[in-house]
Amino acid sequence: MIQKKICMVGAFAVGKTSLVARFVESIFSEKYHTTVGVKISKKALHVGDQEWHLILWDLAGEDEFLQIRTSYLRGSAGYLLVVDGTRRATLDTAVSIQQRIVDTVGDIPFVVLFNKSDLTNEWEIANDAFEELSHKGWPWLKASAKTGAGVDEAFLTLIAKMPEG
Amino acid sequence: MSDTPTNGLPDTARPPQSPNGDGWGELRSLLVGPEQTQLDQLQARLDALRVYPEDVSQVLAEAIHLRSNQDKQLTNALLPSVEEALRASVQRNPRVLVDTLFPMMGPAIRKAITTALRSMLDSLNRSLEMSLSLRGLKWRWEALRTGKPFAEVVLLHILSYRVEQVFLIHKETGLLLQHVIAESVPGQDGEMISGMLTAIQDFMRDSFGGTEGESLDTVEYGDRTLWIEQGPQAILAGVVRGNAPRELKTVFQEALESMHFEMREAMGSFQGDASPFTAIRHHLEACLQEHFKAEETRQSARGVWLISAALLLALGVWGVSLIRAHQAHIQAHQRWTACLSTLREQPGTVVLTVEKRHGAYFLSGLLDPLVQEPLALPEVARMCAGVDVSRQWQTYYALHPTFVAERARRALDPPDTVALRLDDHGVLHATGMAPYQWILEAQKLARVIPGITQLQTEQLVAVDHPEQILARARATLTPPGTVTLRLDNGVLYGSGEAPHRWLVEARKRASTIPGIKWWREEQLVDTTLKALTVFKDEVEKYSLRFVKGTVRPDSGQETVPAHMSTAVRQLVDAANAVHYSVQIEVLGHTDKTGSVEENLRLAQGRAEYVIATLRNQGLTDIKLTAVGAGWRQPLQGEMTEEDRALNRRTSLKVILTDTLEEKG
Repeated sequence: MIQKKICMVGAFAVGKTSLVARFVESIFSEKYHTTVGVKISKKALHVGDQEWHLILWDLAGEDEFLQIRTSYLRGSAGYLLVVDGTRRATLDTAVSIQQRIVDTVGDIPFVVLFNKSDLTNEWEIANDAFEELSHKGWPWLKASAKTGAGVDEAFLTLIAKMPEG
Repeated sequence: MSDTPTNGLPDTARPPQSPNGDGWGELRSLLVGPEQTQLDQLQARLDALRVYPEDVSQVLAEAIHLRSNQDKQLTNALLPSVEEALRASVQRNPRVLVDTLFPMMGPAIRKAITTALRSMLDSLNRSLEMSLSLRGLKWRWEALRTGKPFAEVVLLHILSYRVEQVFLIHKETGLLLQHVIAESVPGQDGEMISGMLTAIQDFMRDSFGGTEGESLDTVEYGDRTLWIEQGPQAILAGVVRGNAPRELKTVFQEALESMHFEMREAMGSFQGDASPFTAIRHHLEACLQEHFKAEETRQSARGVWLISAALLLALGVWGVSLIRAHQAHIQAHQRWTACLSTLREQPGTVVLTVEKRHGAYFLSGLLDPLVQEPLALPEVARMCAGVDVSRQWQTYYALHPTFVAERARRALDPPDTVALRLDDHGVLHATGMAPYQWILEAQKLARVIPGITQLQTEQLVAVDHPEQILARARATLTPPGTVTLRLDNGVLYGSGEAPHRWLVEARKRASTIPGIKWWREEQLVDTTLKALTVFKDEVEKYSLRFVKGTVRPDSGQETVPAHMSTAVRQLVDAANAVHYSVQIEVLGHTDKTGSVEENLRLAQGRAEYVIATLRNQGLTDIKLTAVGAGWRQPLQGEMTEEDRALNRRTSLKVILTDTLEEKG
């Protein structure tokens, strides 16, 4: 069994909590976000014959009043940079966050997760944005906390980018 | 030169000859040759830079000893190798190890089983104690009230402290390296808790500042405390319930140090695979310490038992005292009942009211004057001993026959000669003798004596009645028929004739007869004395005449002495018969002629002559006295010689004396 510390970061209300609530297990309540600023959850996965336990540090969403505590990323094996596909600004926030993470803990694996992929009508992220990310070498995925589409893939993608053991 | 070295150095110590035969070289060899050789050897060893086994073997034992005294690092360092060696030994030939361990296995197994059984027994005892005791019920109520399992509530109360969980957390990543949980403690996901704990530490550090070295080391929540020990690469966090001693921190620290020592490399290169840390799990398990309030519990239980025992004892003492008080009360009541019963049985005593006031008894009643204080009577006093009785008596007259008779006796005060008897009808019968006046007064008094209806005196003799007195006198004196008795105002008169003996007796006894004051006998004739007087007169008739101037009887007087003697004998015999003694004075007389002295001598001679004559006649047992009377008692005047002849004579005077009267 391999444990990995994974952080989930993103702007406020991008759906991190929904992703965690539906696809990971947690023993802590939501109020940790507003008190401690982070809530620990766990995502168990099997990759081949190897069991992975991703310890998810679900950091409180960032907005104009609150910045994420990048110190929480210390020791992380990777992170999910979550973006709300229906709000373009959240991508900018994600980029900003990523930069600060690099400044704080260096280059560690991450995956950009565009949440709310089921809301195609309200989608605000243009394709050129994806291209730009690809151009920067940032892996990205679309996912839906509502349907579950893309969620496991996101974690698997992140795992694939992390050194094993 | 001689072949023998002259400087005394051995050949081996001789410095090598200089190839060129240089003198300086030879001199240097001679001076520092041996030291040079040693320096060369040292240089060779330094050049080789090798640790020789021989050198290590010299200090190995001492080094191991020294390090073992310092810390456990040597043990920890050797442990993997020893384990590996053991593993290899078992794989190669298990029998070697089995044979070695065999002597230890039996005792070890027994000890393990004993420990397990004792633990189970302790647990069972505790469970039973908790279940059955008052405290157990209280805790069950607490469990019901709080919704906690009973076992948890029990544990909360009996635990001094207990380390419930221990986490070994990788410091950099916050990932869980090892996690141990005490038995029966509900476990949460250790991985998430480790993460959250790390997050909280980061949060504290970010929020309140501080350097890297500063860290959270204690979090208290309710009765739980989270103790955090920081290591260079890992954190040891223990959840402690209760109040753990500070020494436990040392246990945590030592465990953390040991784990760092053993897993330093693994911690440094940790990438998420915690499986290698299973090997140091025992260090964490060693931290799962617990301490029960066993002693305190026992003491508490002992205290409860002591209090219970004291309460029971107090209750017992109170009960006993209550029982004793009750028994004392019953005994007091029984004593009082017996006392009262005895009191009521006493004649002349009537108990009217009985009350009990403040533990003391108060009674009122009636008491006959003849009864003394009834509680002072021995029988009552014995029954009423220890009973506090106040009483108030009023006088009354008991009609019990005993009391009526006694009351009559006291009121009438009869003489000793009177006996009183009360019959069933209240009639008092008096018998015996009593003064007439007493009888009259008793008849008056009897009417007012309570309980007496009548005084019967018919059988009572009035000792002071004249007729009675006279009758009594007759009965006492038994006078002969010739005697008449008469009573006049207490004086008893006797008249008539009576023998001298009766008179003597009557004189003695008359005055002793009740009712008779005096005895008078002037009118009584002593018949005995009357008879003796005849004989006396006969004797006193005899007179013997003498010749003038001589003591020789005159002529014609020869028969007189014989007759005189016979008369005297008859008198003496009669007198003796009535206990009279006879004394006769023989008087000698003369005429007036001659001198007085001659006449007195002559008269004395004539009297003695008669006495001698009477003695000769056999009257030797009579007192005869000669008295010379001279001429003073002439028989008749001496007018003539014949007259003178008649005066020259002797006469007899008889004196009779009652011998009994003299003795009496």
